[in-house]
Amino acid sequence: MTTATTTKDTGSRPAGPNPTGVGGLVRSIARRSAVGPSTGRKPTLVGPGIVLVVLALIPLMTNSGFELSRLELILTYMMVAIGLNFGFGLAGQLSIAQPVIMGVAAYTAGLLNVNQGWNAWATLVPALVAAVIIGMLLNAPGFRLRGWYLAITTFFAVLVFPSLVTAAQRWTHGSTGLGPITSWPGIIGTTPQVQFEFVLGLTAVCWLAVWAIAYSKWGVLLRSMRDSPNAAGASGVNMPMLSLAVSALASLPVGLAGWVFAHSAELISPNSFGFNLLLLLMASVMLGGRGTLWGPVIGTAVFETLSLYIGAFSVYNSIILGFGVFVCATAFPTGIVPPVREFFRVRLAKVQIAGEPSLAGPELDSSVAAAVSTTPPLHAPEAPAAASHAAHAQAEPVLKLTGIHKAFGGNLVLDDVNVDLYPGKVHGLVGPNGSGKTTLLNVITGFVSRDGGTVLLRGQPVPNLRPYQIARRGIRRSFQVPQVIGELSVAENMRLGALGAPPQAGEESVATSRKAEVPRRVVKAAEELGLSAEYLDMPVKELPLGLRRIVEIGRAMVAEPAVICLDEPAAGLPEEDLVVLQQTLHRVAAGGCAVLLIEHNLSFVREVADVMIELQDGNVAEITELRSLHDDRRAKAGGQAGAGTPTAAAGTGRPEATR
Amino acid sequence: MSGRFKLPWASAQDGGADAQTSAGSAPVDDKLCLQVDQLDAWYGQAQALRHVSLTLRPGEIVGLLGRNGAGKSTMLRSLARLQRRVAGHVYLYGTPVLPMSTEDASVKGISLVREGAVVYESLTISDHLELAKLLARRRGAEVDIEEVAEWFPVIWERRTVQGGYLSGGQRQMLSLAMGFLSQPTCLLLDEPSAGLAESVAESVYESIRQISIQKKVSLLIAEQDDRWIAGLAGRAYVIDNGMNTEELDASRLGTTSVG
Amino acid sequence: MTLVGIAIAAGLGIGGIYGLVAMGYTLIMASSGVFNFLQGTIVMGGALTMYWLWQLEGWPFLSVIVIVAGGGLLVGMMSYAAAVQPVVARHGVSDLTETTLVTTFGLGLALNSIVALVFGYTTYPVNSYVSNNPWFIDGIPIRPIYVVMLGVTLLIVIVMEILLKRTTTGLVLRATVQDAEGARLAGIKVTKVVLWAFGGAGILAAVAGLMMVPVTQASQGIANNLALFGFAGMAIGGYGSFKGAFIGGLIVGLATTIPAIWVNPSLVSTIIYGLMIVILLIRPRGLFGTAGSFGSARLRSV
Repeated sequence: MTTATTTKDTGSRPAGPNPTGVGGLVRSIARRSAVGPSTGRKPTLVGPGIVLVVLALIPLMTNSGFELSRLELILTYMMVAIGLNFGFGLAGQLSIAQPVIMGVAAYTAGLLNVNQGWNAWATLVPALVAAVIIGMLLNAPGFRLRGWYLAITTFFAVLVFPSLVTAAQRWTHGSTGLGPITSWPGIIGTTPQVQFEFVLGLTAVCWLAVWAIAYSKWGVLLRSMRDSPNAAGASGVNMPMLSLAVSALASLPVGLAGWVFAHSAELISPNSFGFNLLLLLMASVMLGGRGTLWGPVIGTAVFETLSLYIGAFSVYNSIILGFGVFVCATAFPTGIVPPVREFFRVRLAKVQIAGEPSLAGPELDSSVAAAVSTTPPLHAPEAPAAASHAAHAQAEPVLKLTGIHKAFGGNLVLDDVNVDLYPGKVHGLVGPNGSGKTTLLNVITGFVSRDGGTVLLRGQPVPNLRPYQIARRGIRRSFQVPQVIGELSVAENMRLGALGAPPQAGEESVATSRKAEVPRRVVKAAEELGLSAEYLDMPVKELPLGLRRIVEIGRAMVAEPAVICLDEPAAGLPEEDLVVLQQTLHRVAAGGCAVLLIEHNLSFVREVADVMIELQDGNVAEITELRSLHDDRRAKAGGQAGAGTPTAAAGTGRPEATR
Repeated sequence: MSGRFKLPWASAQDGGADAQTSAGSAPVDDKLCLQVDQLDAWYGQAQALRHVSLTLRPGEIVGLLGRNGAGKSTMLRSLARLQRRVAGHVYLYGTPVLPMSTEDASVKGISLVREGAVVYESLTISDHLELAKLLARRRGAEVDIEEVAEWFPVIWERRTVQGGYLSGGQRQMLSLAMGFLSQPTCLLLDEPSAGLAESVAESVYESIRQISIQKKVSLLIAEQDDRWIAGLAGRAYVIDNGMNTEELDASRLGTTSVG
Repeated sequence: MTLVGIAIAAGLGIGGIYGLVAMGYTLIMASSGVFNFLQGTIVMGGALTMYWLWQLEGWPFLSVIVIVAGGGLLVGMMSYAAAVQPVVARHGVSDLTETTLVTTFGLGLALNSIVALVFGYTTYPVNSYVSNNPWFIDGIPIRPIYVVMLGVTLLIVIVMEILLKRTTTGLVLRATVQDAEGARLAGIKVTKVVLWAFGGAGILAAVAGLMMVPVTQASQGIANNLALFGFAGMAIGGYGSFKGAFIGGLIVGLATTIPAIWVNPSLVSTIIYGLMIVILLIRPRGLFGTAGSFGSARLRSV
């Protein structure tokens, strides 16, 4: 298997130390920091490192314990904001109960300290454990409740928490406050400067942890939770488990902040963990930009500094924060970080230092025809195996459906459906609206459970399973509106297909260009599809519909499935893209998959399918074999360079009778 | 496509245009009930209509034929202004339609009877007819809902029944009753036969025939199978994959079906 | 036993108030899919206005009602204009509920704080507008105000049902709620209907605040509490009908008074929260959800 090593240099020599001094150095750092998650390479930590060093120098500039403790407070709130951003911004979890989690951690530490005499180090673990437990509990309703309902319930938990603390006055001392809570033993507790560095260090660790996760394969998983949960499930990702893991993880920095708060404030009361804090958090994350790494940091810095000057619990504080949240949500839904980052990316791309390749690379033609070749690959993927598959295919369907029944309410949508899917063949599922096509696809892929009938996959019976379980067994699908993660690259989106299953070979990275590293299996799948490697690190949001559909197919193929189901892949595509899509589907089948596609476009189906299955009123009306097994076209796709593409006239002209 | 810096308060709509106003290719004829000129429409990134054109003369009954997914519904929804992401030109007796909101297009006289006989589940038939009467009043006409008794006696008899309890055929009749009752300038019917048993669809079309003789409405009927409009429509446009393919006159309707 | 009887009476009385707020939420939710956090703010506004104009300044009761209702109408409509309209214009309608949750929350908290600037955080007592001499039902002393609250709110529910079922405006609203697309096709300006729905909900909230104030006193803190209890009422009773929301409100009212006999009153909000979560987990659409006079498809998607 050769590795693709296309490069996209426009310059004549590789980047080296820039001859124009400090300015060049800054630009170079900025450029390499601007490299985003779309390239698979982690950006340099030099920039953040510099910020950390600068912040660490602050204690040298001021001796005031008061100033330092205020700055510490900002850092503490930053940790909470980082936790909120992790869950809400990266993973799309609409849970905003952070003040409660922080409060629970703080009170756990405080109670153990005041009532049991545990010192600050001993209270760390209990505080974190309490935070994680309460975090998972508060998110538990998310299994039954949809997005905003969950948000409201977590949000009302914030309202309820203070009264709970008041009710437990005997232990918590209610609103008079719990204290005095001892500070850390040793130099940390006694020297304000050291304590500041300590808290700074903790905040940096939280930020770094999120950074590492965001740029790893977990980052892809999290974003898929937020942007394409259906696709994640269909790629074998156990969403409920992942959701629980996110709840737990996101609670850690918040719990840590609560612990720090308790031991540095020395007196805690329920007021610190109420709506005011929630408002601050929301404003910070919204201003900075949800899902960005620097967003929570910048946002908290801005708002908390502002509120410390106005007066922490003053009324004006709430007014400003309230309006801040309102304005941000209305006018700046992505926050300020993304537009600023985009601004710099654009500017930097235009700044060409002599001899250095441009950041953006040559402008790639983002049409489907340019990206996907319609000639067969240089190395036919396992051609002999495909042929022998094909030879046996007649006798052994890879997926056998018998007697499938499904009713919604009183409405019988699928009535005794029998369908066989053969490896290496393309099956077109057609029929009028309401005939049950979509439901059948959903039954096969697990999005809908069947009422009756059997499903045999490779001869093994398959019970009613969740989508991710079915995906792991080898049945993958695409969606009519492509469920892709716009801000990530083609390669990252395709990679999702492999992330749901236990690790297999092919995860090791391969360089496809100067900038990007991509798992080997993604490169392999792209080759099989005929997708040019240059497109692997394009952000998907810049791609047209046809290419997004192909990315979805690529995501399915990365897992080397037995069956791929496609939901109206041709809908809304212009003629020229349909032609490329047909070739792509032939290639997919040539690799040994059984392909099932739902389509309305009969001429498209006739061009591409081997078998046409007609559904009517919930059962199979007719199965038509469109072409024999050893067809010309199939051989061309898997073997020698073929004679040109299918006729473009396929899509036009008077539709014919099918009755 | 990289490099276009978007101001944070720029519109969230991407791609496609909401009723561009570039010059059309055909002169505006204010005698035509409907004049559609190079109409495009998008759902997200998918382009559903490509440069579709048609005309509808006053009092004419014209068919719009095409298979599933060809773009018939998108076409009608674009004309009724439910479908917003469009480009091109549409004129109703010379007045540009595309810039209008759905409500305005409706008040100006465009009525759409949607596919699948959609009715209000918990409103009674009388309620539905009252709404149609309201619309007629907005259009400047006073109508008598008792007309429905002639057109669809079954519906009239059951007028205290809620929409949710009606059969498919009855829902279709109710939708049509609302359409005709509201005094439209241009009535668009989206697959009246869809989902109905043969005989029911035949009786529905029988009623359409009778009412259209009485009311002289300009009618655009979308169907998959041209046999329904044979003998009713004077001509029909065929579209496939969002594009015009041909125009048939009455003599060729009912001879072949469109699948 | 008398304690329970008193608690029931009080619970039903205050429950009627919560029911009004819950109905306001339902009205807005059904017609636009928005959760308007500002409802709590409007209740507080009604309460404080009652304190200021009636208690302090001694204005006639009827005038105060009119002013409060009018204020509620205005603020309700303004909340649509400020917190919802710009979001719709800018984002379209995807994620509308989540985004307006945040915008109404931000705006609501800001406004609540502005009110705190004027009124502070004190609780202002307000005299009852009916006599305080207890009526004796079955030997149990019941403050007349609770009877009045329940009676008036029930009356309002009945009047709303009549308006909804018997008037053209009601018909237009029901049509919009069930099928906004169809309503547009029928020439109905859905935006105007939604605007009036916000206004109507505002009236309900403001009147609720006015009526409840002798019992709960007037304070800035009412806003958040009522936001929670009103939502809990809608969530428990469901979400789909005025009647359901009203009954949900009554249940919440009883849940605030009856447990307080035996447990620490501070635990009441926790109890209600717990009750709400449990019911939502078992039956996400609430006890009487989705059937009823609305049956909005949008609500059915919970």
